[in-house]
Amino acid sequence: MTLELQKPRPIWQIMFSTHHTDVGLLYLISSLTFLFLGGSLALGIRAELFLPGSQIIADSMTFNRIFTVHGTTLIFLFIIPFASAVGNYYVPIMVRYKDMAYPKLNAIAFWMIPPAGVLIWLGFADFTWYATPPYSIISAPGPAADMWIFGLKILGISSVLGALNFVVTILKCKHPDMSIGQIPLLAWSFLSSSLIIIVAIPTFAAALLMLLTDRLGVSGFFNPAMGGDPIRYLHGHSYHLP
Amino acid sequence: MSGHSNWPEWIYVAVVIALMAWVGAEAWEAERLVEHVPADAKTIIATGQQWFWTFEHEDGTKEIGELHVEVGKAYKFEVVSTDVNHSFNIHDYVVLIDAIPGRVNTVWFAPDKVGEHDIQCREYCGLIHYNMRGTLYVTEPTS
Repeated sequence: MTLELQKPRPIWQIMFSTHHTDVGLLYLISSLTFLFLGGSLALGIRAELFLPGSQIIADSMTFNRIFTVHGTTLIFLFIIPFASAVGNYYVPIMVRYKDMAYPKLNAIAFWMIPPAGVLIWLGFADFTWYATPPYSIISAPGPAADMWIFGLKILGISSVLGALNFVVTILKCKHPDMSIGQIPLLAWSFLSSSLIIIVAIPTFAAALLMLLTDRLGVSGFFNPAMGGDPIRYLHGHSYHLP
Repeated sequence: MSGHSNWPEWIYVAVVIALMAWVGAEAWEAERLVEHVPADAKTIIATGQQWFWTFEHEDGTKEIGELHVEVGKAYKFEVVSTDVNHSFNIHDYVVLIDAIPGRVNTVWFAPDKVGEHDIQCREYCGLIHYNMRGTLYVTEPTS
């Protein structure tokens, strides 16, 4: 047997592919890119805190913005897409199917991530990755907070689409000879976490939508000055964290 | 399967259950202590606003940015906020509770030693959050 090296494919073939290994690779590339981007912000934060007083970051608001984008990037643009990278690559193989159940939906779910990342990075909001109201309603300046909210809404849709794909792939596309108890543990973990995402993300999305309408001044869900309660947002936001 | 022994697994399960029960009991006890405010505790209203703390004693006297209490006495803080979320924290006495606009959150402590301690905000509240500090002075009883 001779080992034949395959000629590397051009990058655009991978980018426009809907095959699960290619989409998994794209997830991996984007999540690692965001890991290094978010990590470089962490280096800046640590360098700034190395000594008391101002070191490399001009003012406290810039520091707060860097801190927020760092946290948001590593949670929503690194950890979650990285898990999707592993799942996209291995789950169809583990359940012995040719691809994910909905390949195009899978590619769409991935391609939502870069624009969301751009919104979060260009917005450069300052209210930490929790966006706690009422600060995020009454004090967070400019369009930064709105861009952050829209970025996270896009990521939420992406997560739900990816989770639906995993659930259908595992439950409906597994090999007929394979019982549910014979599915490898990694696939089981993706099944359970996907079910949690499907339940939890809509709650988070609702909290974000309510936060946006509060910012627009048409509602007061989380604004005590309008009879709202900030704790409600934390319940909606934290609910999706597992 | 004959000859198969699974006692190590049962020991593992028992150890995990015992640990969980112990942690739960400890947490229950800690919660009971935190909730049980002594009857003779003096009330101090701690108000957070961007970016300083105001303290109002039972006799109506107010302090801004600093708080004087007497050693050996219990104090109950009623923590409120007038603008955004803050978090009232005396790090050395493990006092930590959120200041949420529209709510009154309570926490108590009894300083046991004369000294000075930092008071700080532990919830991001804007531009000068990092400098929303105060000083707790624990002094000898005056009478």
